[in-house]
Amino acid sequence: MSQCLKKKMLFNPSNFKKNYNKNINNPELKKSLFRSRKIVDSRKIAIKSVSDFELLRNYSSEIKNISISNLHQLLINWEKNAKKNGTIVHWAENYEDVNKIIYKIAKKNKVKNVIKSKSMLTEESGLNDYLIKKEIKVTETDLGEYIIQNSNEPPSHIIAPAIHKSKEQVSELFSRIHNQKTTNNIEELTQQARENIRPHFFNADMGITGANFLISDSGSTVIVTNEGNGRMTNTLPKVHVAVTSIEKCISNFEELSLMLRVLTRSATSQNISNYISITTGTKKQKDLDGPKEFHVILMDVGRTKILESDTWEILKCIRCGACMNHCPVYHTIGGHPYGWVYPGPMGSILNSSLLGNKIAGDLPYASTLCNQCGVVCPVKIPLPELMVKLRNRKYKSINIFKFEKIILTFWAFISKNPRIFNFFISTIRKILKLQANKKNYISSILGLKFGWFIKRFLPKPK
Amino acid sequence: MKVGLFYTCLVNIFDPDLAYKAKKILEFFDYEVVIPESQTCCAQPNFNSGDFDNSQELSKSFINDFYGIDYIVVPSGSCAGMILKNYPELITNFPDEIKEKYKSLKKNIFEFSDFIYKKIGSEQFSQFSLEKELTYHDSCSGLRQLKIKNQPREILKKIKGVKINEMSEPEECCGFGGSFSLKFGGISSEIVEKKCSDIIKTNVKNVCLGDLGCALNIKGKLEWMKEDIEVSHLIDILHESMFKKENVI
Amino acid sequence: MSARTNILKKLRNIKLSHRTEDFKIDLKKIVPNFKNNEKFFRAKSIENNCLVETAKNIDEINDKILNFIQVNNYSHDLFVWPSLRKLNFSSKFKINSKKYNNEKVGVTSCFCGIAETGSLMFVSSESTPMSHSLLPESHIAIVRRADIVRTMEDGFKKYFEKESIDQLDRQICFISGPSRTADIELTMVIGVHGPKRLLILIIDDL
Repeated sequence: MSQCLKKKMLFNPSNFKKNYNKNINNPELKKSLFRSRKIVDSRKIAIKSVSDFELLRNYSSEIKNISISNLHQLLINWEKNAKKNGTIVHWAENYEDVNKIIYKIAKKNKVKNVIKSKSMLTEESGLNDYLIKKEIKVTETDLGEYIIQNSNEPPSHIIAPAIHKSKEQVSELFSRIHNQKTTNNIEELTQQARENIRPHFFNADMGITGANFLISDSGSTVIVTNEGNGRMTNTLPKVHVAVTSIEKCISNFEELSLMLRVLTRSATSQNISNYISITTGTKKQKDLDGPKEFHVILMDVGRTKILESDTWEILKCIRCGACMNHCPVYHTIGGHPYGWVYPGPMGSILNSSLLGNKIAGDLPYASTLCNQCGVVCPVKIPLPELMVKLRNRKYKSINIFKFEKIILTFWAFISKNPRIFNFFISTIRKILKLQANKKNYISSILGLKFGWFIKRFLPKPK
Repeated sequence: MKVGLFYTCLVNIFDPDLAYKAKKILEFFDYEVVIPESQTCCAQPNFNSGDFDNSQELSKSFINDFYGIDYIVVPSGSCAGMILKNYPELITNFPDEIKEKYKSLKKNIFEFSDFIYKKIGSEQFSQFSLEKELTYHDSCSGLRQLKIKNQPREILKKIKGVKINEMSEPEECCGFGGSFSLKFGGISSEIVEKKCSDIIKTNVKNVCLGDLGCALNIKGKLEWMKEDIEVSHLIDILHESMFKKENVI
Repeated sequence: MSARTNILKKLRNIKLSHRTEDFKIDLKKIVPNFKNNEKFFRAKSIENNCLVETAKNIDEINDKILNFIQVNNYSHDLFVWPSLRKLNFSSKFKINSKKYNNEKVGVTSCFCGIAETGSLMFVSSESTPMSHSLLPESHIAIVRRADIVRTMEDGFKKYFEKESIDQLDRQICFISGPSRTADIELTMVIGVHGPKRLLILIIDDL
């Protein structure tokens, strides 16, 4: 299967069932996912350094509630202040425009080499493929993104995109693409990446980053990173483009200081991440470094539509990844089966909200509604509630003759008639009892092995 | 005081005895137990599948079935959670009469272990004895919707001879999730395998919990894994300690 | 209609169901209750994999830098902030300030230190560029004891004592240790694209 087609298959929520079945039976992935559980414990330690973490979550949640309620004013203010400092602001309503705007900037500046620091939004818009088709070289510089770019895979986690890969797999990849001695040692692999990516920082004509926050009061753009590639990307090339979406705007630096406390602890179990870069405008006249041009692309692709809906709270998401770190489903199937940019609980909701029912309608059902995600979400998004709301949206759209709708309608009907209900229950009991084996366990019902019976029995009714 | 027992569908199908055991326990502590015959389903299967319209109808039925009873006890964290946490949204467009009924119901609905803990007191169980080493699985709805964590443990600890050996991750979901276990059976089965491995590592012969859905899931998997570990609802353990292995009529 | 007009129009018409109430942030319940800024700062910086030492005067600064160079087998080429050129650096060092020339060590001071997180706050300007704390393999940062404030909020307050919110410097950066990653098997590695080592020198005055 061609690499392109392979990537297309992986990157499609409609293939959810096929993809997760493949992953359940993948022992390498199982090992990787087991390894990644350590982040659950490390987060528990990190939150201890805040005297009242639940209070902090309340504050962050309220900041986001208020910001999202006031986006109109915040963004107008932000734009005014950003422009004052020399930022060139672009607005985009669809992915094609995002890519076109960036290409136009590149063309105007005769850009041949682009370096990128992590940006999920450019994954949404498919920027890399777009620029490569226009013969512009794009190098991902975040270690995880670099790995998956070179193995031609989509990210499987929003913070650690190569979390599904073992060090042996990375070693095999690096021995193919680097002209260096093969090693299985993680430190040496990292050093190799540093050496191989470094020249790109100095050769780049344009740097593209994301933005974790926009600060309305000052017109600033903030990125939160650990590796240093974000700083390289926003300082060395002569042009810097930050791609962000409208819901990232907050008011001021007090709010930023507060949000950072929950973000870094929830994302990487750090009290603070290594580099917090707050950029406001371009290189000042006498500065020795910094880009001559700074562009910010404010995209609203589907966001205002979500804002108008009953799942608007998903826009509070600050992309920490805590929900997927604590999700039993994510930890069984990994990130790829979710089929698009965002995996895990927030991914099910956002993918489904942005791509619609037909393409991603299965995703909100792939949850036990345990709420292990909701209790760790730093901005208190009621994730299971939003999943149920999306299920309602899908349910209303499906045909009355679909099997699930027939069963549920039937169940609701008999539940309103206690005599019929009890008769039905006793019939079910009789049928189930007949299916049981000598040890009082059922392995199929009337010859049918429903999903329950995959490597599991059903106890006989007592 | 009258206690209404909402025994739940899964109990109705898989273990009706549990309802009678619950009744016996409550009667021992001088509660008059009523079991409204018109009760059916709390609407959770419909609600969780996104069928809000029918869920609304069923919530109305429940409210009418149980209105007027002093207390309502539910041997399931997920059903109690449904009624306490999701009904408010379902009844927003109903006439005030229904809303008032629900308002008065709401303060008197309890998940089973919560009722015992708050209204009867764990201390009452120090008069009973049962030699049992068990581990306790926290059902997700009970834990995260209703904050059921200490209640069952405090009650169990009071019974002479009961020892709780905690698994490494008792709060980890067992993978049941209602229709999830049917729709995504493969994933569900993998999740419960992890839970069972955790249980097996405790070396106990009994896992206790508060939701029959979790019980069926864990029991069905343990059998598939060829592990001989008993799965009991809290009601089973309490009943056994109080009445030993009497036949329930 | 432009994208901007469309988007702003939609945003103006949205009325969210959430009722926003005024709330006051009480940092005392969030930030740990420590009394000594420097002591806490040291402890947190070390947790962030920094080396932390003190120096009384420029002679001691020179000694610390020399020692650092020797331990790491570096040459004596230093990439030093223009703002620090006035210091009496040892003649053993070869100092460059303007354009990065692959020096292994960058020497800077900083705007202030943040005790709560063990971080250093940097503000870009013509005499305090970002490159010096980013490009070299190792970074030595000098911070004045009196400039170690309690929280990031305090750092911003200090910045806005002299600067206006209307005209921020191009970049403000909080640095909290040498660069790191855990992208391979979630195993932490120190030293990726930014400096591999960060030595903090706490002094009384420059």
